[in-house]
Amino acid sequence: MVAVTNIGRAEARPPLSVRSRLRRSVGPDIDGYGFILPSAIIMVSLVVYPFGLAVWYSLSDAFIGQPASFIGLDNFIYILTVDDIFPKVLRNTLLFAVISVACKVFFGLICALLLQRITTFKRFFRGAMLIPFVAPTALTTLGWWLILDPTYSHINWILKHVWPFSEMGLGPYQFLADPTLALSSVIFVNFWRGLPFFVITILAGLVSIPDHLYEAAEIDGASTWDKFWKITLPLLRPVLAVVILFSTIFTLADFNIVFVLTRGGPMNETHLFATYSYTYGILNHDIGLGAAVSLFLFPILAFTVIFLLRLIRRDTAYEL
Amino acid sequence: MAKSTKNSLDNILGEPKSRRKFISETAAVTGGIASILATGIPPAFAQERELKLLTWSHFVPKSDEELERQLKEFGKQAGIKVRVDRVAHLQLPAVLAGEVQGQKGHDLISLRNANSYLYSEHLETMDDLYEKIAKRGGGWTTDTVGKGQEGRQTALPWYFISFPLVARTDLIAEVGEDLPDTWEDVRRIAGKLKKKGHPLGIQLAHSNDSNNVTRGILWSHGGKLVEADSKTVAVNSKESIEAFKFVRALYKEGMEKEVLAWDDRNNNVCLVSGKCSMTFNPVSAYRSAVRDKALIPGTDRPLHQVINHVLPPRGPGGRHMAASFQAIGVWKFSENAQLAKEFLDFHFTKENIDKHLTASQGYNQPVLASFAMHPIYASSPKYYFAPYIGWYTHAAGYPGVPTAATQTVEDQFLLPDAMAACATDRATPEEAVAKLEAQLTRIYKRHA
Repeated sequence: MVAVTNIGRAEARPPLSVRSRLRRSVGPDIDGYGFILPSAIIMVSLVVYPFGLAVWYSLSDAFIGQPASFIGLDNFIYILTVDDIFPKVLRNTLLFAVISVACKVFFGLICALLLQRITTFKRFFRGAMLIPFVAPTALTTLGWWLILDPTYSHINWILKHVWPFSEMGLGPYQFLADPTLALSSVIFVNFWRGLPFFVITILAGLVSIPDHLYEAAEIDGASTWDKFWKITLPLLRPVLAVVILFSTIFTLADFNIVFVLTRGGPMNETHLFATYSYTYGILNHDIGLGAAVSLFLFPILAFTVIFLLRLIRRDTAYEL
Repeated sequence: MAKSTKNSLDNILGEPKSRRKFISETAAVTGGIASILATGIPPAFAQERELKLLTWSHFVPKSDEELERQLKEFGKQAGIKVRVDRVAHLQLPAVLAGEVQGQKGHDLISLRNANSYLYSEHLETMDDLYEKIAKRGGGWTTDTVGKGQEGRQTALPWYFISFPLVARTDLIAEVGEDLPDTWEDVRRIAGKLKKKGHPLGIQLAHSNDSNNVTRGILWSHGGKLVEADSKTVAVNSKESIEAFKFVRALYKEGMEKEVLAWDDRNNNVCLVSGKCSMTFNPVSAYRSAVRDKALIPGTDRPLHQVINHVLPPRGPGGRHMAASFQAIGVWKFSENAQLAKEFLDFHFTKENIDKHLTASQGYNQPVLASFAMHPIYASSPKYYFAPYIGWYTHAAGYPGVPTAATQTVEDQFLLPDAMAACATDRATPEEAVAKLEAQLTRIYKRHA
């Protein structure tokens, strides 16, 4: 009898609201999903849609101002089998990213360790370090363009007129006309620009390492080298992984530096994915080929991101 | 007091409204605003017409200033707002491409070489205006510029920028030579002067000058990129290979490696600084030497006194040089197309063309026959070449007409790159020509 009464009461309850039903089916995080919905819509509109459009263009013969038709993988086949500049673009992009990011990590770590020890004019040096990063890229690259100018390079002038370089018989160097030097120059300018990002981020990581770990290590008789390898570096790894992740993405997709410094020259020897894609898609009006070139970057970026994110996840589990 | 306040409010707000009336009026206003936002067209009473012109940043700024003055004068007469936007010449193709893709942008646009053909479908037909201006100006000196597909005139020829040989007469005299008349003369003199630290400077890089001068060398040796039908790729010939061999010799004997990284500015700088002995350039390098009061290094003598321009050199295939032919057109998607054409009618009057040519200090060369012997060319021996260089000057695409494929080949700098690869021994002349042939074939097939 009691049971019957209970059932009767249950049947008499008002129907569940939409929100409650969603909470039952989705789980207690329904509010969270609600909050991220606007961001998700923006993401879909601003990232997924252009990406989908790029994929469509890459599979079409899209030409600026003309209707496009589906041509399957023809653009990719052309790039891989006929276009002899593309292998250079691939090589340049990988060299550009690997060398530049490696240098930024190495010198960024050194600079951060030095900045941590500096006590006099600490703020000045930390602020000054940021200048290359905060100045507009196009402006600073124009500055480097003048420094490396084919005819009147400031560096060549110094090598010729300023002692003791004038005694050494060095130069003149064709920084932007020699293919190897031109690629080295664009890598250097990218390194110069990106270094502050590493220094400041690594410095923040260094500051957050508790002093008592070093004190304990000193009591145990650890040397400076031991402290660096056993405490500093392991605790910096999550920070380093994040900073490398961001820098790799930005470096692989870099456009400004090559565009201003060399415009892909000499003889197309310094093109990166971004500049080569621009050349095909905008200058040559062949949007299909331009999109196909840029999509080659996607698997490289995806692999890099997955690899570094796994590293970060592993390091997040690291316990003191 | 309270009553008087209520009356005041009624005066301000009007009669009290019913809920239904309020909703219907609000809906009407919202709908109106939404339609303005959706169409992007303000209501007639709020419309203020603006005529927008896009051009490249001229190397002689006074040319742009005169153009802007004329547009303002026209705007004043027509009672409209006007605007001139300028972009670097190498960025102009990207901006034009963006406007075509978005079907939005300026009304009047500066077009180069074969842009009028490339964007044919998006440009207004100018046939009537073309004929009218031709009658007024004694006829056009070119019949290939500003053409679109199906022979339509999609832009008006505006002016051309020629590429004479610019030479340091003092340095050439020092090595016991006269001003060069043939490409072999150029090679011999450049070889002698390079040894004295005064090389020849021709860009073998991604620059407009390079596109023009390398075409001049190819044509002067009897080579060509395409046949006169503007469709058949014809670069792989004995004559082209000879031209490539010549460029390799010229680079090794008379030039320095820096030309591989030059843009359109560097050869001017090299000449005006006193380093380069010869280059190919419009009169802007000379004008820079005058303006900057440049001196011959180590002396008090003005450099411009020893700079002169002569006709492009002769080769086994004759005397030929390419030029940047400028045209001006009106987008089909322009909301002010008729007004834009009226401005062109105004700009192409005898008085205004004369002022524009004069303001450019001889840099812009006329495409209307009645201006061919413009007084500015008689004002200085430095300009004596100008009335005659047109006879030897062709638009890109020669011996055919400039087409969309021509423009793509130019925008990719394929010929300069091929010649640079050959000059630096990265490819033999035969390999460089064969590779260029493959590239051209694909592009011409794509545009067929």
